[in-house]
Amino acid sequence: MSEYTGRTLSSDVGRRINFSSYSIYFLAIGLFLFLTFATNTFFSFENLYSISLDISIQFYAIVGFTLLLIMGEIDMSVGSVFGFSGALAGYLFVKSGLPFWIAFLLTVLLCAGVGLINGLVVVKFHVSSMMVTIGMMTVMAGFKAVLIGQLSSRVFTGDFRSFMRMKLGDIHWTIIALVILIVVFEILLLRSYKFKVFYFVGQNSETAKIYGIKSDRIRMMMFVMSAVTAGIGGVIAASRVAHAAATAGVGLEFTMITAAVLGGASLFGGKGSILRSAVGLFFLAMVTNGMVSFSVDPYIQQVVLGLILIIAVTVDIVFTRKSRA
Amino acid sequence: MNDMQDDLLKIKGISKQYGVVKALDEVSFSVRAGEIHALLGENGAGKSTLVKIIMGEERPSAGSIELDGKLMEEFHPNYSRGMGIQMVHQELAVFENMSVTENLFPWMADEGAVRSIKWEDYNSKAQEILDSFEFRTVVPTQRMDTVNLAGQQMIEILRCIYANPKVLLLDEPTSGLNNEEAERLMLTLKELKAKGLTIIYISHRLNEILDYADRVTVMRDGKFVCTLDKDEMNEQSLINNMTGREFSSTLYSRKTYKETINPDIMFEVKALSKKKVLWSASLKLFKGEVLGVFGLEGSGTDRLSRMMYGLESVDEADIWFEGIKIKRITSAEMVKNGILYLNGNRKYAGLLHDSSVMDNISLPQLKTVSNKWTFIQTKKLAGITKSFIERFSIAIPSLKACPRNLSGGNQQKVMLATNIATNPKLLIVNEPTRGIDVGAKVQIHNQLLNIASEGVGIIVFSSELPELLSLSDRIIVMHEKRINGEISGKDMTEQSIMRLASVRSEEVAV
Amino acid sequence: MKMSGLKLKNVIQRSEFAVIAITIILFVVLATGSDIFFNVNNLNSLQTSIAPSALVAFGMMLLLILGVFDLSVGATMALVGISVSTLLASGVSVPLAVLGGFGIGVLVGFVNGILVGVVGINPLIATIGIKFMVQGLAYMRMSNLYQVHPDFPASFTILGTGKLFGIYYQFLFMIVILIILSIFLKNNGIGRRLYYIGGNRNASRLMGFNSKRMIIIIYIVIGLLAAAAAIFSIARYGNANRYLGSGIEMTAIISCVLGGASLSGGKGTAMGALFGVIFMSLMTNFFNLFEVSSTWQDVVVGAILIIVVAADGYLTLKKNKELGKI
Repeated sequence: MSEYTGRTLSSDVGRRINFSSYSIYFLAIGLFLFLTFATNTFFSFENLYSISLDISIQFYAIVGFTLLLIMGEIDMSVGSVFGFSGALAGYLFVKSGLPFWIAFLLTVLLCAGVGLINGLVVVKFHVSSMMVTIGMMTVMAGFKAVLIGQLSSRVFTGDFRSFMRMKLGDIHWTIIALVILIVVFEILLLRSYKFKVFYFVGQNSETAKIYGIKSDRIRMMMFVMSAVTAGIGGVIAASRVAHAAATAGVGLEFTMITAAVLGGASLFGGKGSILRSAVGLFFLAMVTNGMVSFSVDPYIQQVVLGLILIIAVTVDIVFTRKSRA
Repeated sequence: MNDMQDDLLKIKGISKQYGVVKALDEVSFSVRAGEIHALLGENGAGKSTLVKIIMGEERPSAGSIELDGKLMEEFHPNYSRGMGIQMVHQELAVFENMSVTENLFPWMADEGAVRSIKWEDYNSKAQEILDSFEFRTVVPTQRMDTVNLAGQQMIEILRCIYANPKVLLLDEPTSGLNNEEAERLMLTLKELKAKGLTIIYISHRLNEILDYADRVTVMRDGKFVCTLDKDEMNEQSLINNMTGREFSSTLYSRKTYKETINPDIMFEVKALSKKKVLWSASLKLFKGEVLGVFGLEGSGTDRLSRMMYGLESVDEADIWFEGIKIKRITSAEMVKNGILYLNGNRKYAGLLHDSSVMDNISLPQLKTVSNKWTFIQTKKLAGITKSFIERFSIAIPSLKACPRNLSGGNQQKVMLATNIATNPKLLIVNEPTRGIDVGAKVQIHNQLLNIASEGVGIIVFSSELPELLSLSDRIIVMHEKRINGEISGKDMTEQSIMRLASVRSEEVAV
Repeated sequence: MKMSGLKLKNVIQRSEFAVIAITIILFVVLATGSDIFFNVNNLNSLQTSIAPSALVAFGMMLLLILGVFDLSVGATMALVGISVSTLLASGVSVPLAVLGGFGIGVLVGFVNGILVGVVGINPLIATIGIKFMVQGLAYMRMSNLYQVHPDFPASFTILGTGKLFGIYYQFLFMIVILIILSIFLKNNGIGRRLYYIGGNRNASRLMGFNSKRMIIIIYIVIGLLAAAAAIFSIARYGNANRYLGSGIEMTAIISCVLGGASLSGGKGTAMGALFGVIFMSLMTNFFNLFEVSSTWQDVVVGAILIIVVAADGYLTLKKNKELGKI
């Protein structure tokens, strides 16, 4: 039925990817227990708190990234938008002398525009989101470098620096926000029709369209969402290090993909959740943390991460095949 | 019975198990050399699975196949092809990114790894093939994506025929062709038969089978039912064997159409047009009637249905519903107005195959089944779902079951239930019973007539004439991308409609 | 497939037309606008930047035609570079060291091929996983070497610096590969089969084509080409550093897409890949020669990529609309 206009999938490779919904919980709990008993350093408040703080920053980026994956689309530009937004907010703050909150707001708005361009091109011209966002990744990496060049390693002070350091009680607000966001998103995605519809659109956008859902608009919105959350995460990260780092966000897209896929998202859409992606991030952080305490060569960590990703996906595919045969 | 030595292909106790489902259950029969052997059965009877096994695309769980007295040792397309078997697939196996020539000769690489391809030779060979079939609308160097659907199907058929097989398998080859093309194909098959080719042929068109098949094997629920010789074949015997029931011709009992039509217009399409797709099309649906739209393949019925529902862009159109002009022709706007659309191809869209039946039912009425906090009320939804499962007698293990694991008929019923559960005011249905078994067909027809009697407006697009006659009060006929006429009341006969569908009428009605 | 390529319409419709046209324009701008464009040093650096990138892009193009891709290719280059220099530093003979480098390329390619072709993992995920692993191994070796600049034997260095009539061996090698691949893709049955498989995987299965084997073989081919690129590079610069091949997977994919490939498979040519690479190199050259901050280069390249992808989508939509398909 070639006359239908829906996007066709180029190949059936990977169609079966569906890291079973609960595996990530078992993996994470297993690793948690292992590290608790195998090391002296892991299970301490300070250590767990610092892991949580690390995650709470990347987490913002993975919110939109996961929502977009549910649409069956991918945002390769998430890392450079992350880095760009930190630099831009810093530029507006330091060079243009804007109050921090205005700089923050403008930055997020601009990121929304970036996401909108991604979304418009992908949805209107029916092209691969991976390709478009690789283009955007390159563009934003360029802008980031330009801004960093302008900033010449100026330190962000005042409101910018204290933004990330704000605490509620004794806890950084980012951690509290992380917990709240996870709970809220989990409930909304499971129960609220406004959110559940994302899964329907992701599974089959044409079907959703037939039943009156504005699929294209939702798909575009998620591109915006991805850029916006990456932008927010980027500003928080810049606030943490208090300057615009050239390395900010570099390779973040790979971390996001790994965490989200471990958390059960599929590149073909219709699957995934914010909670499970966050647990995926936590798992990755624990792996790094654990290996540091075993004083494993940092480069072996990469090997191990790659191995985990591939084994997890392979096991899942073999498992799904068996259950279908 | 005939001498067994005549049998070219012997199918011996073939079974095929998919998980717990038995698609084929010890099927045995044989096919004689040089005959056209039809395979007939309801959807899900296992015909397609059987030919796929013969072609080596699937491996049987048990059983064996002998070709020319030789046991087939492997089940792989290359092995079967090496044995002289070719197959025309129901779902086209064409390469849109390549030329017509390359689609005709996909195996040229097998002629030696380091050999250089002589394009001139292949192109002229392709031209000969196209000429011999009087297929003049395409040229060998044309890219396949510029060939229309029927042309693509034709090229796949030619690819198989000219690979010089001993046995040719065809899985519903005429489904994408118009009558003329289908007839030409059948005549070609007859010629090939005369040259000694053995043909196994799956079709739902009983007339084709009665006209051209030498013998027919009927299957039901994965089992062999019988093989009938030419003199035993008639419409009644075939239907009876397919369904296992004495089905009288009441299956398509002619509807007692309304003599007088309520003059109030419910829904009106004015001058819908799109370049190269549809000439200015206008139609009216009166209150309380079922309007049928008929057209042969390529006449534009499917596109019209999609365009008037806002699934495809139009160049211009005015659509009025209950006296109010619909501002923007989008599906969202339609659903808001209580107009729903039963998609013509459930495999592609219209169902969420990997979501539960409950989720499917909720999709067009998410807001209705949710509370003011936008939370979906699961109990309410389950209640609705249950009532529709009972009303449509859908066979599913639980409310959480996904359409992917259901039979075609049940999938179609879930799709229709999804539409009807919204209490629509108007339902546009496109091919409501395509590719489902007779039992489910009857049920779906009854459901449609039921809601029509409750006042729901229905526009049925169908390429099955008997179906339209049994449902509609009035029928609009399309021909070559335009509305060619309209027939109502006692003038609605198969002959009159078919004539309008195949001959351009000068005075365009409506 | 008659050579009706002379008709203007056909030329324009070829997918690599756009990149060839803008590459020529860029070339003219550079040739007329800059005094030092034809300077020997500049031409030398162009050749040695184009050759290895083109080798990798050829491999990527073959994969893209099949409908897959490889993100681990840069990491493979790093690992090959570091391994070959370690081997040479520890006194292994040049042919053996080079062979070892190719062996690594084959191994990485084979694993990628198995994961994508046989296991059925999405190429994005599979090759990112492998990228992590290979990169980790490479950097591990690197940290042990710690900035050692081995003295390569002259018979090895010549691979990177040797010239014939002013043209680098590596550039000639690249041209030979280009010719072989062009003929292979156009006039060889197996080469055409890449287009069949990439164009419609399911139909290919029904035709009995072995797409698994093809995917494994092509991943091995890109592994070999990446190894060759790495060897030429370290031979030219006299050392292996950790930035060898870094980010080249993206540049290669971008070059190929600019040169007419699509992620959905079934299209692209070796010539298109080459012009994509030349375009990217000329862009770098442009920014250097006109002394524009190189940071803007990414912005321009990315924007061009988005425009090319969008235009391709738009033209496809338009064509389908004209055919009345949508």
